[in-house]
Amino acid sequence: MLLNQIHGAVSKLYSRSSAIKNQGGSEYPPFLLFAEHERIVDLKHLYLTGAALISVCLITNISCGTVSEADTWLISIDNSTISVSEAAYAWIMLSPEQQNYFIQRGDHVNRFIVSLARKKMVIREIHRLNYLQRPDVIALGNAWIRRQASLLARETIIAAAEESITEDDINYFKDHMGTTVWYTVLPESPGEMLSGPAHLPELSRELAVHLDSMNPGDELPLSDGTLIRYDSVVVTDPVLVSETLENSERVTDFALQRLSAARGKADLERIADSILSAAEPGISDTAISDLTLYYSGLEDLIPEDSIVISRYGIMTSSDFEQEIEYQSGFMPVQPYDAVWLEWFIDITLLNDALMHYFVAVNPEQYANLSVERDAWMLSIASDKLFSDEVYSVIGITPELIRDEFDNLIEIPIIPEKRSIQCVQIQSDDVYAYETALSEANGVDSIIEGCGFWKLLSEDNPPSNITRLLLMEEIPGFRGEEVFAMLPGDTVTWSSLSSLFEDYEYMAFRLVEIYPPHTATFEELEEDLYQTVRVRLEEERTSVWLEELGEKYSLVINEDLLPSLPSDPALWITY
Amino acid sequence: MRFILILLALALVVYANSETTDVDFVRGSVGGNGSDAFLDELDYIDLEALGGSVRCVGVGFDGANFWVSDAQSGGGPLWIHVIDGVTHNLITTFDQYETEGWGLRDLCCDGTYMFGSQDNEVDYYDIGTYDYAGYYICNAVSPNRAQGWDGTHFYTGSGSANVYQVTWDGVSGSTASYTTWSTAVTNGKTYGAAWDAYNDCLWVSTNNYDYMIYQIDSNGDLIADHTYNIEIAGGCTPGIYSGSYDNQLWVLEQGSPDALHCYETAPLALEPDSWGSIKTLF
Repeated sequence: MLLNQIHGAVSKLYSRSSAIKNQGGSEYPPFLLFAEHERIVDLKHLYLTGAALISVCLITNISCGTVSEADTWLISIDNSTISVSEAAYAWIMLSPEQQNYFIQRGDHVNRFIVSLARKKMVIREIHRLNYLQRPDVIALGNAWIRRQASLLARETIIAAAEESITEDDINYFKDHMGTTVWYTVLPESPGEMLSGPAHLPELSRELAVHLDSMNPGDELPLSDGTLIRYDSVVVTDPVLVSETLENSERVTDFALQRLSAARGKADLERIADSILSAAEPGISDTAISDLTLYYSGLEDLIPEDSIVISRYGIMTSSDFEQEIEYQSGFMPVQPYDAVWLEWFIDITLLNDALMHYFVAVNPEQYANLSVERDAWMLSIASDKLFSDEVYSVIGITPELIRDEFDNLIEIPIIPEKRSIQCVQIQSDDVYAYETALSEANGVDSIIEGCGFWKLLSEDNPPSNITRLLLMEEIPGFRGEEVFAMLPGDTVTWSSLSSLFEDYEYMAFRLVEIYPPHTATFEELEEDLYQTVRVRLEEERTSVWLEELGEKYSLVINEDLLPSLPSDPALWITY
Repeated sequence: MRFILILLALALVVYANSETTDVDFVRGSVGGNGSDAFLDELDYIDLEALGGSVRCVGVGFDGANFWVSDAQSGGGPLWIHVIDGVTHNLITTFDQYETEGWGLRDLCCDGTYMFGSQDNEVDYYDIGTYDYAGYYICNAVSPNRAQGWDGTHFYTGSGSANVYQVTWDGVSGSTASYTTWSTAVTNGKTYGAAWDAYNDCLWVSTNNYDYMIYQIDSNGDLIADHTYNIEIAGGCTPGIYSGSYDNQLWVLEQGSPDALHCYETAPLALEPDSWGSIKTLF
């Protein structure tokens, strides 16, 4: 709400500002230049800053009654202009991190103005090519708003649960604190469900009272007929309970937190179940199987395959491809694994249900989220456009990489590498290892079966002999020790060093040394590939942006730019 | 982790020698990939640069700040560092209450207290005052190394495949009840736990030198084991990252240096300089 008020205040201020100063046929009101910004927290900060600055500037301009350079055009795109003051507003609306991006790279005024102009061209290109209507962009937008709305739904539900906690609830909690129960729902039936251990006062009041009225072994139905069997109980020492209850304030806070969490969790499940029951989602096992095969690289994607059909609509394989891409921004994903995919579909449906709940209970806030979603989609669309115009255009051939190598002014030296045999000794085996060190061939029997660094091995199956390693790659922080060993000493096993806390130790012996040498093409090939790729991408980007500049008749007022203060925030009144 | 850093350093040297001076990152796609998307970092905190020792082991998040347990070897009490979740500045360091050796391992917060354990007792501290507030006993395992909290139950485990679900009644000094909730950590090296409320699952970090982290559903069944770039993990926790107030998974790496890593999973691609400047404005 506060954010809306601030937003409204800034908008009103801007309307006033435009009415006073709008002379250049500007295409974008300054505030809207960055209305696409996606982070609420940043916006809150920026709106506050912007409102304060705009207020000061308005007062200054109105009181002076002058027309300054602030109204002069700075950027022209297809005869629409962005004025000096509008560019200043755009700068002010950036977060400190965004401003620092330009400041730290030097020549920040030119860099910022050029980037601002290019951004506007990119947005025009996005609209011209209908990127915002692309199914993948729309699906990503749906994923974004589902996540945000379901997170807010959770907060709403937990907050409502907390508000519902009464003094009586707290007193009941305190009266029964320390009682832990085990019970069975629908005992000896197909739906039997064992529950517990559960802290009695954190159960629903009806169930808690019900169990409290029974003795272990009793079976009695709840008011809805559900049969409950009271299995067992553990009661904490009353002296300890009394001592804890002495700090009444702390226990009250604790009770409030626990009851809110328990009640909120129950409410959340009830709400989601209710919505999902009404939606009647049907999930296609065949379509899930097809999708896992796609992610396994065994089949093509069948975009129109219906994964979920419900009263809210259909979610296809194509939709889930985007859902998974979005999810991969937050957690590891394994869509080629049917177990993971089925879990992910369930979670998506749960969050979809919570989003529908949020739309129903808080339509205003959802509308605000939709605005943010649109801004986020614009950013995603720009990535897609860039990928299509740059990434998918460049071609990196083996000849290009070879040329890069041949043109290196100085071929780097690869430092010495060493291979070792190394194992992880458990604390129980330390004595045996140290005893074996003094016996010929004794160590072999000890290290057999010990753990080792599988990822350092080149063997198949992996062995406890590593590939050639740089000093920094030696595990257990023993690189200096390994590299200090005499080259011919390949039989002496090392002393033990603690690896992890005090229950695991490392032992090693030297196996092989590969001396420093001039890098070969093969050793540098991967890095050279990256170098060539970055260079070609930059070259292609420049060409594409030049093309856009011509297409949209981009002109920057280079006569004016050098005379402007180095702090763009000052341009408002310049 | 170290050899990955070396490769990264080599790559950066190569990039530095090219014309491109701005190295920015953009998310790529996971479509059609047969392997797990490699975890990429959203955020990073060098604990040793903040005054932590090489013996940082656990991490929890109190809703605003990270708490890191540190078994410093310089003598005297062991430490807990409190680090601002947004700025990543050190707020304070205070002493653990009567711990020794490696002290408290992984940490977790229930909204009121921060919990950690060095044996079969789980100590808890007031997150407002940093005061030691009490303990409970849990005989599931010693120490109760991993610490996670889902709003109702704690989750713990130590150096095995087992993860235990723990019910504590809130009484200081009481003995908590527990069940063996999961045996899904197949590398057998449970170290840290973090409940992911949004995805309704538990993440378990491990120290088996195999770069594995486990994702377990609310029934204790394995959803997936994932490969990432931490060889030896300590604890883990959900927490905010500096780019967003959304919770992300943070994992403590016991490496060089000890550090907190915040992950996303989409593969990264280097962006050209000019496009990086434009994208900064979106």
